[in-house]
Amino acid sequence: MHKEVNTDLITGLIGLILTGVFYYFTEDISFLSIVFPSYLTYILGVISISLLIKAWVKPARQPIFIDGNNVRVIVIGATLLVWWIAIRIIGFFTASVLVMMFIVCYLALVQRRLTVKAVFLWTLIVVGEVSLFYLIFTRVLHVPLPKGFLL
Amino acid sequence: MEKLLATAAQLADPAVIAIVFIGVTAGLFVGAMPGLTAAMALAVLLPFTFTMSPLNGLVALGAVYMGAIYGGSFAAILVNTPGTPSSIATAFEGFPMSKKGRAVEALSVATISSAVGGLAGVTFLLLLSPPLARLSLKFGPAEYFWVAVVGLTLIASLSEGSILKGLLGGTLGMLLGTVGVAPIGGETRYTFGLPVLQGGIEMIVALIGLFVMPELFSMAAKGKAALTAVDLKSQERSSILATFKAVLSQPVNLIRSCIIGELIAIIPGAGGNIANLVAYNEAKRASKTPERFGKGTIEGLIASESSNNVTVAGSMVPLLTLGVPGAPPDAVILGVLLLHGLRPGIELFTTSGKLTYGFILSMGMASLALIPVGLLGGRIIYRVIFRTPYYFLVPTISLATLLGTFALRNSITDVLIMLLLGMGGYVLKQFGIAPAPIVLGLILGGIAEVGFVQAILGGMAQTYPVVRLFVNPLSWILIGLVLFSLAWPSLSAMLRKRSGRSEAEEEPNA
Repeated sequence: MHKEVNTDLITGLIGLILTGVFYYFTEDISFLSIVFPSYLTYILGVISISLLIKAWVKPARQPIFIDGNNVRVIVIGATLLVWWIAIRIIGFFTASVLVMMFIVCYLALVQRRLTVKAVFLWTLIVVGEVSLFYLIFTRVLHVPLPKGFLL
Repeated sequence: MEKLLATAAQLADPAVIAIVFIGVTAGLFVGAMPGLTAAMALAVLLPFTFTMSPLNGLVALGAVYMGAIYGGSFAAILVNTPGTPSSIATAFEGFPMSKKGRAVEALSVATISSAVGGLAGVTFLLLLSPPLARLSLKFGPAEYFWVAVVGLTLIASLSEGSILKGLLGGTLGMLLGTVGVAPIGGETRYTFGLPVLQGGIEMIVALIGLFVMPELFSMAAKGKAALTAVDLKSQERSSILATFKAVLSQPVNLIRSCIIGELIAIIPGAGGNIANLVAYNEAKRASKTPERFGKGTIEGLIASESSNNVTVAGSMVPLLTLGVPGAPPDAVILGVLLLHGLRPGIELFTTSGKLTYGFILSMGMASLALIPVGLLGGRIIYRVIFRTPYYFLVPTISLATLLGTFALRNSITDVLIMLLLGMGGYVLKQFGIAPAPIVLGLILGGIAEVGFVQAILGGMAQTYPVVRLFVNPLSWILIGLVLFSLAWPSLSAMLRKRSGRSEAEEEPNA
């Protein structure tokens, strides 16, 4: 049973925080450059306050993060950030093979046991897949993918 | 007409025909995966068009778009999960048909209806765009500002959930769009001390982050349940000719659905996701046997699939004439147009007419390509997708997304922005702020800012320069639309309550 939360209150608060951030960083620059963002900041503030009032008067309640296993979302999100860092250090190809292998093995664990044979086969598939993308992007599309100290 | 004929000759090139077929197939692949939208298909496949000529690049994207919208029907019919939001109503009829062993028939009806809808959309685009492009000359800065606001309020009020949350998302998107150099003042805003943000947030980077990443996280969270394969057990021999006859024997349904699709497509911000539901509802209201709806009738399927494919070319009307994307996938097309130095408006139909008409006609070719690709290759494509374990799909989509984002500007920072926006988008989605208004705010924000600031500049001689936004009659029509779209959720709720009350009053007499 998932607990329902007052989403109007949460979104109103998120909106207010963002209003504060944008208001704080509104620089003292020429009128033409800042007039539109300034108005938008005020509008964001008004909408956020309206949501907070609604949260108090007639709140919308709904369960959140009910898609499935939230730990997997966090792990995948963190892995993608690690991927981004690793690309710059060890290069696109190596980082992609390592990170993709990790994701494949991690997600596969949900529905099956890992065997040496399966991991070996997946490694071949992942290396083939990354090589294909790598060749298409570097040779056909001429995109200079980050190399790092490996490849 | 001469331009059209000259353009048609260009499209007879075997390379163009091959691009159309490959594009439709690629779009079908992505569109058939539940949760992955047409916008994502276009954004991820965009880098593959970089080395192509402008015409071939646009032809490829038009074909991908057409294939992706149609591909949504596969998952809707076979798994009861719409591949794209444009196929929600398709699931209402298609899945019950599959359960009765009529899956192949449902897929054939969807294919032919989609092709008819696609061709109708192209016809509408050819007929409506040139006069509207001429009308766009009457649009000044104030009108452009209001067009952007209309789009934003419409998407906020038509999308699911609270209008306040929709507006919050739209405003946030517009604010994100102001990061970087101001289009008129020329100074940088909201870089938060980070020089990398001086170039602003690239629209397609945001689009990939906000549309693709939340779905990817959702797929990872759901695990195996994200893609449940079903076998096509249906053994019925559905003759293609008989299906053609069945679809074409409903001309009123087809025409009504196509017109509904086009009317909705023209509205900036609305698209196939709304058109399919409205067309389905109208088909049900007009049907002599409404009680059969929801149990597997082809009437509903025809309405949904023809209307959603009309919106592919149909939503290009505001894009090509005013530069306002009719739906999120159009934002990618807009990006490509700008990349090739093409500015929406009358010039697209005069100076760059050959290219524009080539692009429009190629969408007609893509609609026709749906028939062989869908009927012959569709089932194979579907099997490939659903037999691929989800633990391979998630990293593969991540890889394509990451590469697609990087290739836009060869910028690793864009990849980080995409990831952060994706994570933020996933969290906001949980609280009821959908990605569509944020993305649309980001897209329309630039148009709104230029219109707003130019109008204010024009009104500098007045005491209150902002009054300039309200002086033209055309502006007032657009303001009326803004107010109407803001009031629409309350109005429709009131109407529903009233009709519910009158039904309740009638019941005791029955």
